[in-house]
Amino acid sequence: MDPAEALTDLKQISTQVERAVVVRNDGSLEASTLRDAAAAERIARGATDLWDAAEAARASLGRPALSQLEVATPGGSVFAVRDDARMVCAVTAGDPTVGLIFYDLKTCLRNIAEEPAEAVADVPPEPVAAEPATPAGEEEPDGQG
Amino acid sequence: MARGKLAAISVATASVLGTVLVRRRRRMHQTRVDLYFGDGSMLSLPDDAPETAAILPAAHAILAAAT
Repeated sequence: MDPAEALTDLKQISTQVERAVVVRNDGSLEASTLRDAAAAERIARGATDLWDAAEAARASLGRPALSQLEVATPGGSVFAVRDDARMVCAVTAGDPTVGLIFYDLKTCLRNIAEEPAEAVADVPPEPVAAEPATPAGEEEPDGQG
Repeated sequence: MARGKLAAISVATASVLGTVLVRRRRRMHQTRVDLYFGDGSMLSLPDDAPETAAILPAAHAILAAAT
């Protein structure tokens, strides 16, 4: 699924998600729910910094690989979920339903990772049987006598 | 007798409800970082942990950009 389409679905499913971005693991912004492109870029940069800081904390604590995180503040919460290719980062108001948000973000990532329908159908079309040729001298009836 | 029981149940219910509300309110006003790992474990870092101090600036930058 297209990342922008997946974010549209996310916003429809999860009313608690106020803003969300999809960031590739190289740090480039792939899609966002924001109209302000500069703000979306700032969130994408912040999401990459957030993940890097969390990854550093994980390493210093000797924990296994990081899969998702939440930062809760009185002003709102930030969620991030990452797979092998990209991360989806979402902002919610205070006191969100944590399990539900993570579930919706993982669904969003899974939808993007799914192979697009066009790619699956990217096989040569089967030949279509040609209509039988009209015998020479005969005309197609056109209904006008 | 029945009135005494009713009063006791009411007090107990109100007490539990109050505790839940106070905890929920306190939780809303706390800053914390919850890290979830690939093996299914989770670590909640309190706001005074050194790791939290390193993570919070990025989260605040995201929240500021989102408003």
